[in-house]
Amino acid sequence: MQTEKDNLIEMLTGIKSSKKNYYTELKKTVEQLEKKNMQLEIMNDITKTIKIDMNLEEIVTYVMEKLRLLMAFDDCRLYLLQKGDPVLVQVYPTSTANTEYRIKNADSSLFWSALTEKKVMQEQISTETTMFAEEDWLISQELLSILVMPLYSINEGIGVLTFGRKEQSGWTTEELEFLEQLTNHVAIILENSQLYNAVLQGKQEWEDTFKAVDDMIMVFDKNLEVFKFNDSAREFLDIYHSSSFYSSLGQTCKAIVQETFNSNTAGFQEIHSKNHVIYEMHTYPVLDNDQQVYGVIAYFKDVTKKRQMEVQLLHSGKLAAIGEMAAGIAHELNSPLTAILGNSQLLIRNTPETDRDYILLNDIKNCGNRCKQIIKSLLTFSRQDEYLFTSYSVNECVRQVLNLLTFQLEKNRISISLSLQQDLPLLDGSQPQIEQVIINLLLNAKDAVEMAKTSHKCISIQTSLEEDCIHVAVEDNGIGIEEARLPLVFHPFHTTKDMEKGTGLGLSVSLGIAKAHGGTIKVISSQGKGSTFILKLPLPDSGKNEVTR
Amino acid sequence: MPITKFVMPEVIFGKDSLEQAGEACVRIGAKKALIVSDSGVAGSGWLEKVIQSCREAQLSFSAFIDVTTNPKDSEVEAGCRTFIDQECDAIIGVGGGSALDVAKGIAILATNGGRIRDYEGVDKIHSPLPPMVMVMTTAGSGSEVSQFSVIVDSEREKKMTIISKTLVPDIAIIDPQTLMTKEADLTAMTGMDVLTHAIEAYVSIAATPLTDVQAKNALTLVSRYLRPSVASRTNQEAKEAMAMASLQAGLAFSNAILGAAHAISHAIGGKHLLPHGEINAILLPYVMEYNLIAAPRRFAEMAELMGVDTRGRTQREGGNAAIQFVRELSADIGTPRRLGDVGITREMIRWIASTALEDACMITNPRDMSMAQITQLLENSL
Repeated sequence: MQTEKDNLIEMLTGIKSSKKNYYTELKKTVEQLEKKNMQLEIMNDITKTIKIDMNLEEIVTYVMEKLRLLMAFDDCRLYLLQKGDPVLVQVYPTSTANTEYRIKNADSSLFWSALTEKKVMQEQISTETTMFAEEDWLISQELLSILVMPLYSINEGIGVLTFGRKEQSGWTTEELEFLEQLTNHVAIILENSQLYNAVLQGKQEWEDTFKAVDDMIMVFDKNLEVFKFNDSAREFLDIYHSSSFYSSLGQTCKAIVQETFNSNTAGFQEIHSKNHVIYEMHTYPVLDNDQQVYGVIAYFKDVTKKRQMEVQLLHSGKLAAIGEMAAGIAHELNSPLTAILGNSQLLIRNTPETDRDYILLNDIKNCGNRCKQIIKSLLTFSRQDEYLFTSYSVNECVRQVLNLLTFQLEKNRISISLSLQQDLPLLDGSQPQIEQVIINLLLNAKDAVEMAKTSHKCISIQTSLEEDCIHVAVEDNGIGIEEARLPLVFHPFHTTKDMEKGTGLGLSVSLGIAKAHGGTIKVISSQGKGSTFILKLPLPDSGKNEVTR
Repeated sequence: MPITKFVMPEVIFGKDSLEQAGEACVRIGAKKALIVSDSGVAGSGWLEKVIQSCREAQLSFSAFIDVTTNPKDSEVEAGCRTFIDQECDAIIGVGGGSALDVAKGIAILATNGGRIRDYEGVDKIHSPLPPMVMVMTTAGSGSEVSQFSVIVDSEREKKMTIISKTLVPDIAIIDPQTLMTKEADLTAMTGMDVLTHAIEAYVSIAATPLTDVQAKNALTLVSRYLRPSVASRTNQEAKEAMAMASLQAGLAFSNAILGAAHAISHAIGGKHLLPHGEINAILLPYVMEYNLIAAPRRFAEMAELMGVDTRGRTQREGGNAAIQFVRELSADIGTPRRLGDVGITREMIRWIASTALEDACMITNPRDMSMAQITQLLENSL
């Protein structure tokens, strides 16, 4: 009782109480403000310095270094959720980076709980009982207090930021408040950065797709100028931009683009360029948010090959029909021919060699045999399995062709010199197709020599083995080809012949066949002196020139 | 000797010191002051002078003049709202004890929040208060220098005594001129209040040599000048002496605390809203009689200070002479002599007694007091 009274008296007289000092309080406030200021400065600094395209490590290292200025911690880690798994992204200081701790997906894990419950967790380590999963690991790191700040966007946990101290000390409300603000901020930054990268990647993917397209894509603006194009278009523009060809092509294109601008609907036109390339041009309007056309995408598809193929297909269809007809005719002819041969042989047997008719009969028999040979060659050529690749002999091809054509050539007083290298290896391929090529070359040579007004018309056929190729050279002493026309002879529909005589497809089809066999056709020519066409066919095992079908 | 402590504000005393109020307030960091006063002071012209001084010091201000005698908590709360609404950061109290106590109350709520009853008792204020300048215009309460604020809790009908060193104002301004506008009966009542302060502080068990000096000097001045001061409104010497007495008594009781007279006076004042000085004047001789045996030497010394010839008398006789002096003084200046005269009845005694026993001022009373003893004392004074 007495002491209580003494106590009260001491309070009354002020021995145990003093006037609260306004200045002291003010100073405290100022100190707090200064600290707050520094926090704000750091926050501001972080926002200012961190650019959206900084990578994650840069951002986090920066934040952690700044934090170091404001509060004490010995270990700071950032875990981010990747496919539902918390993955250690960054450790500060980096010297402790080798001691990675993997967060366990369990309720006993402080880290996991902070993440899933979006709650700040803090613990002091007591050596007595194990309270949570991370304790052993923390002790191994000599960390005695741990703070786990969850990072979350809108409602989803995206990771945790952990702070460890080597002493048992709590965290002040002020520190926690600041860290909470900071982590909110960092979460937003991280999310932005991730979103940015996702958008960037998406854009990159589209750009790559755009680039990967082999066909030309150009985007025209309202002034009909190209403002975007892919790599194929770039090559085209680089090559042709200054040529007159481009300007004429440009005129056509721009007309279509203009139309698309006007009509606001997709457009299409097939364009035949002067360099014998055929394009299919598709145009599509590009709309802005107000549904106004602000650009036109033009898509150029090179359909030259396609067209060529279509014609070839048509042609081979015709050829097939002719072949079939020829086979039919050959069959039909076989029966009367058998009768002719049989009867002539019967007659020969009963005719003494001295008989005047013997020679005539023999001539009938020989011509009959020759007819039979021709028919047989025709049948072979038109056989249905003609496109199967088998082993064949080039020399045999030449002989078969000559069986069919010798008469024609000789009738036109063209002498044929044949020089076939013996022991040529067999090749893989379609014999009828190769025969067709040789026929084409021979017929071209025949036309060439016929047009020449030389008295001695001559075609030579030569086969030879050169390195890893077999060459079939067809040489004529015909009119030859002008130098300027040389590069064009293999173009489809290029012809010097009359309408009814040539389609302009022979050489282009032949080159196609040669290429399908991994080979090629070369031409050497001088005007007025003649031409040599060389069919080069690779040997089966020559490796790099694998047969493409 | 145990540790002692003496807390007091910067004191500006003298004729026309009132005019320094504005400048003093600026000096302690004020940007905008709330002037707390009552309509009586406002009518006397002293408030106008304080406002003028604020204008001269280029101090913005707002005024709250709705203070009444025995101020209530609601007044403090209204004042605090003004303080906050007007974005004030300092307080100037102008007036008597009521205005200054309300000014202190507003200061408490402004920075501590809550309700004024939360701070009843000793040392309950937790945050520093805004700068306070107290301009005393009545002399008596000593509030301008004290750590006390007495506010009526209107719900409990009780005077709450708030005691805290934090309540000691920063600057106290005492201009004796202001006393010249006081009516004689007010001069008498406040004079008796000063006397009660001095006597209770002098015999308080918390008295220290520093408080003794103040108490004794105040006692001497009151004994000599209260009668002439009541007699004439224009007696400048008497007014200055009474102003000084009030100041010194204030310093004494603020640091040595009071006694039973104040404890009972607070109890009665809270319930019946009677003038504080009047009740003190009635109770003082009865409390002195009761306390006499606790400090006979001090009571005898008082007689000497009052100018009574104590030679050849015992301490007890001297003490009785002091009590007699107080009775005569009270009679001379016409303050009431018995509680019955101011409307207190026998039925009220029990409540008054139990309330007084709980008052903080009772702690430093030199003689312990039981319920029976205080009841007896009250019955005697009826």
